[in-house]
Amino acid sequence: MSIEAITIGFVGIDERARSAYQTFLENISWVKCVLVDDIAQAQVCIVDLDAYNIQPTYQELLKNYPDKIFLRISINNSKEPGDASKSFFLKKPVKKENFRKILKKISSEYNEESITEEPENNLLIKVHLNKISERQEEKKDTSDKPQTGNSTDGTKPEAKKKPKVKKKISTANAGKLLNVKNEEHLVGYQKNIDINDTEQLKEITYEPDKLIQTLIEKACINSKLKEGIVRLTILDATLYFDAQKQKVHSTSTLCALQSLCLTPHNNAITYQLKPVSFRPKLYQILQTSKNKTMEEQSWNMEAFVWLIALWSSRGRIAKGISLNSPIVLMQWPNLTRLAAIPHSVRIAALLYEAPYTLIETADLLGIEQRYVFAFYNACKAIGLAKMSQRKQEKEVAHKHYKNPSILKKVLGKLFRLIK
Amino acid sequence: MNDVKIIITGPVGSGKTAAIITLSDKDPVSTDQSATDMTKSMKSETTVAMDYGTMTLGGKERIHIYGTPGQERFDFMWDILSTNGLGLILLLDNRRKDPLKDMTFFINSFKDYIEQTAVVIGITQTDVNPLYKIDQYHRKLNDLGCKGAIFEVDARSINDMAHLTQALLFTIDPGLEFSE
Repeated sequence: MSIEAITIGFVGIDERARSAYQTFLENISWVKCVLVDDIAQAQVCIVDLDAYNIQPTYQELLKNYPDKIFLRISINNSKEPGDASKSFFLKKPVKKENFRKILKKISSEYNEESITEEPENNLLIKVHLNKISERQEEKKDTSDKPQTGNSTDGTKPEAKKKPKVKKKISTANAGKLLNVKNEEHLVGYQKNIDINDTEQLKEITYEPDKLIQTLIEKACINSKLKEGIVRLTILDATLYFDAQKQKVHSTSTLCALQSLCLTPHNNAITYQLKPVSFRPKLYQILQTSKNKTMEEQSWNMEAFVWLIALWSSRGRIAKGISLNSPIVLMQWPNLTRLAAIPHSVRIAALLYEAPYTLIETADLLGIEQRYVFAFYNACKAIGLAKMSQRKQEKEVAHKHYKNPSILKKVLGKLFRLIK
Repeated sequence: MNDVKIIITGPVGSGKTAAIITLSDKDPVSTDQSATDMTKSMKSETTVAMDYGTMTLGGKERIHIYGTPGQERFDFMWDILSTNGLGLILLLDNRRKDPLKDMTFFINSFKDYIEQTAVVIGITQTDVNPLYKIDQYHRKLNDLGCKGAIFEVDARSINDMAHLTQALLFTIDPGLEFSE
C-alpha cells in the first residue's frame, strides 16, 4: 500500500514552533508528512491564529487558495464555520491525540486506502534529541551551575575510591539527606518510649505554656488579628511581631533567644500593641541594635515560629497531646525555607497522605519517635497540623512504588549531591 | 536498563532549564535560542523544544530529566513526554501576572499524568515578588482537586531542588528507604 506524502506549510509559526511540529510529524509512521516553506506547494496549511496580525494574511490565503486544507490553532474557541473537509480547528493546549485524528482525516482526503494507525513509540524522543545534538556546536556554559564536581570541559574528575562492600544504610540515615548539623538542638536525644509507661511518658512531655513558645505563637496571632505590631519583652529579650510584613524582629540575637526557649518565663513578660506607624521607629531601633551585635535580627515569621517550637520541644511532646489520636497534616510545610530536621520530608509525605498517630508514623517509617514529635510540634505551631478527633476507622493502605530500588538510588544520589 | 524519567514543566522563565542544570550530572542538552517574540521581554533565550539532562545512579541506571517548553504552542510535546514518567515537577514564577492561573493551566494540562503519578510544585522568584503567598497556591491546588508539596525554591540551588525531588519521591512512596 503506498501512501502519498502530505505537504504541510506553516503560517504564523516561527522556527522554534516549527521544529517542534516537525518532530511530531516525522514520527507518525502511518502517514508521511513533508514540510514545505512555500505555502503555494502545501496541501495543508497550519495557521496559528494567535500570531501577531495574522488575520489579514490568513484571509488572503483563504481567498487565494480555496482548495487548500487549513488547520487553525488557537487558544480561543473557533468562531469560523467552515467546510468541514477543508477547515479544521485545534484549541490550545493541543492534545496529540486530537492532532493525530485530524491528520488521519486529512490524509484520508488524499489516500483512498484506509490508514492503519501504528502504535506510538518512543522514537520521537530519540529522534528529537539527535536533532538537538546535531544543532549544538558547543555545550552550554556551566558557570552558574552549582559545584557538583564536574570539570569545565564536561568530564568528571576521578571519583574517590569507595569501599567495595555495599552496605545498606539504615533508614535513620535517610534523615541525613538534609545535611542537618547539631540536630540535638532541634530534635533532642530521647530514646523511643513505651507509651503505656507513664514514667517514660512524663519524661518526654513538656509544657509550652510555661515557656516562650506559647507567648510567641499568641503574639503572632494578635499581630495579625489586631493589624498592628506586637512588642513582647520576655526576661531580657524584646521581640516585635509584624504580621503584615510577616516578620519577627528582635534586639537579641538568635543564639540568645535559643537559650530562652527552655527557660520558664514565670510571667516576667510585658506586652504592648503598637500601630503600624511605629514601623519606621522600629527599624531605627533594630539598626542600632544590629550595629552592636553585627547579626541579622529579623526573620520570616513562619520560619521563626517553627524554629522556636523545635528549640522548645527538643523532640518531646507537648502536654495534652494524645499519642493515640491520629494526626492530620493539612498541607505540606515549606521545608526549603524552614529549619531542617531529619526525616521531615518522609514524615510530611506519610501524614499528608493519611492520618496516623505519632507512634504509628515512627513505626511505619522506621525512625525514632523524637523526629516525629519534633515535626508535629513545629507543624502545629505554624498551624499546619492538628489531632484528629476521630480515631482512624480503617487502615489506609499507603502507596508503594512498583520498583522501589531505583527510587532508593535516586535518594542516595540526592544525598551525595547535597553533602 | 532500569531508567526512569521526571518531567519538569512550567511557564516561560520559571527556572526549568536552571533546574535541569542543577540536577543533572553532565551538561544537559539545552535547546535555548534567542527569543523572538514577546517572551524576549522575560528572557533573552527561550527553550526551542525541550531541555534534557541525566542523573546517573551507578552502573547503567539513569534518571532522565525532561524540561518541557513553556509556551502553550508546544503543549502537544507535553503529552508525548509524560509517557512512562515517574512524576511531575511544576515550577511557577511568582513574578508573573497571574501565577495561580499558570498553576491551573499546567495542573489541568497534566491532569491524567498526575493522577497516575505525583506532582510537586516549586515557586521561584518569591524573593523578587512576594505578592503571592504559598498559602494561596495551596488553596488553589486544593480547589483543583490535587495534592502535592509546594516549596519556595531557587532553581539554581541544589538544596532546594533536592528537597523538591525528595518530596516527589516520598509522595510516590513514603516508605522509601535509601541505600548507598
